[in-house]
Amino acid sequence: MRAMKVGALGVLLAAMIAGSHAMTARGATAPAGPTLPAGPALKAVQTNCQICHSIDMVTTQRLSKATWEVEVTKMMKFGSPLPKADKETVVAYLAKYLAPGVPRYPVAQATAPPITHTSADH
Amino acid sequence: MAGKWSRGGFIAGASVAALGAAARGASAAPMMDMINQRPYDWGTPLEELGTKLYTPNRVFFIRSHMGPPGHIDMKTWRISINGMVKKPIEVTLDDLKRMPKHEVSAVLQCAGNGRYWYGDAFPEASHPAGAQWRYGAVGNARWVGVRVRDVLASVGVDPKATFAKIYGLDNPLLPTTPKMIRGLDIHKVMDEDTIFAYEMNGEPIPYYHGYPVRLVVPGWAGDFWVKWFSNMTLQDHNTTNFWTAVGYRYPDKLGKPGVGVPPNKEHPVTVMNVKSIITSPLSKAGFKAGEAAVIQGLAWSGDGAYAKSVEISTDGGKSWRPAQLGELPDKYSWRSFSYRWTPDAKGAATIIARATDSKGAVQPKASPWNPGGYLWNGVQSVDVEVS
Repeated sequence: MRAMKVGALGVLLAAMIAGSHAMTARGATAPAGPTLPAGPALKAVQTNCQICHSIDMVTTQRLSKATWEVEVTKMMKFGSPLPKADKETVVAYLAKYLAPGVPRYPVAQATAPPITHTSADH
Repeated sequence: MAGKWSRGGFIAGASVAALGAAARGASAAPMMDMINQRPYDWGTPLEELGTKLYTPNRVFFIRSHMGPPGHIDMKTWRISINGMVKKPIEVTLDDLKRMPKHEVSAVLQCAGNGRYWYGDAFPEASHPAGAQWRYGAVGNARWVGVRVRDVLASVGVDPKATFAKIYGLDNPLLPTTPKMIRGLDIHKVMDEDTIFAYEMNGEPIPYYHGYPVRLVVPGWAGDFWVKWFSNMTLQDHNTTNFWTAVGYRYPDKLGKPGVGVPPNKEHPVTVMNVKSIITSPLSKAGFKAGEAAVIQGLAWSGDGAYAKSVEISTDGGKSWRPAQLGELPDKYSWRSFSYRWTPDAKGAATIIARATDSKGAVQPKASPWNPGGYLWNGVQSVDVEVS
């Protein structure tokens, strides 16, 4: 199932980035994701959105094109390096494949983090 | 219509799934609902909430904007009080612990808890953007600390101060991303139950929950409960920071579902509303005609109100019966509810819980759509099969 492949890829990419930020999920099941066709737009999403958050912050949304436009604009203001020239393509892609009506998925689960009072192991 | 609970644990990708199973088997640690993997937006599963008066720290939900600060050096750690005061001060943790203690049992809930259900209630509209919380961005804890107003007593707050600008040690990854700063109304700052908390459920505040000091603002949504608290600036206006001036706002006048509202026609989300969750049953099976079963859950409300009654329907909302209520240790706490049900017929049934608070507010079928997806308090329903 393509959705699962994208979901697994998403969690691996997120884990790679999370590792550098020392926030790897322990014992996590993969976030479930919808079918996102491969191509330049998906690559742009994966490259530019996952600096600050994992891919599930994107794939769990179901937004209109107008709302995707607002969100992508906000993220570019926040510092996403998405090139201006790619913005319209990315907004159209997200609005097509992550629109209201696209099925949503059960929540993934992960082992609760340990209780600690220092930043030593994070 | 009300959101339907669905069991989590979606497994995608054999290797990742195996890793999850191995980790669970090895540590037997509790699982949490991973709404967003990074930064942590992890919810407490309904099974873990159960009917517990206090939510264990280990599974208490975590909502992150920026992630925790990289390092906190307690040798140099201080909180700062400044701005419109006669004498700005810095306070150590030992200073705080020497002051009179104040304890409050209070529900902490993310303003966006339940945002996911707007998508079910208004399927055609653009869903509200943000972390797609279902039920688990809520917990109840015993918070111990020092009243903020006791700390402020020594600094001489200018009577013209109307807001406190508050923030913690957490910072965005990118310098262009706005830091999470909140503006808190001076009346709530001075409330007798607003505290600088250094204990949560009898232990030092865990790192992910804001160690060493978290601002506790009972009755108000979680975005005011600043973690890793470091600074309070008294001023005569609210902050213009993004997370107060644009984010965490609710329309002055509700508009068409799916359509955005300019921030200048919105106001900050503050007080929580009346709400209940069903934590048992969570699956269809297990009911037999003529055999008693128990329906359980938790109920709470916001500032100045508490859950006064909970009613249960087992026929999809046609008729209602009162549930028994558990202890209420504090007006800001939640309480458990319980209802004994003996189904008299086989077949499908829909269980619904509906809370009413001490001010008479009743949970609606669905909350009105708003652009941020805040304050969802629509009733929860669980479909069961009686055999």
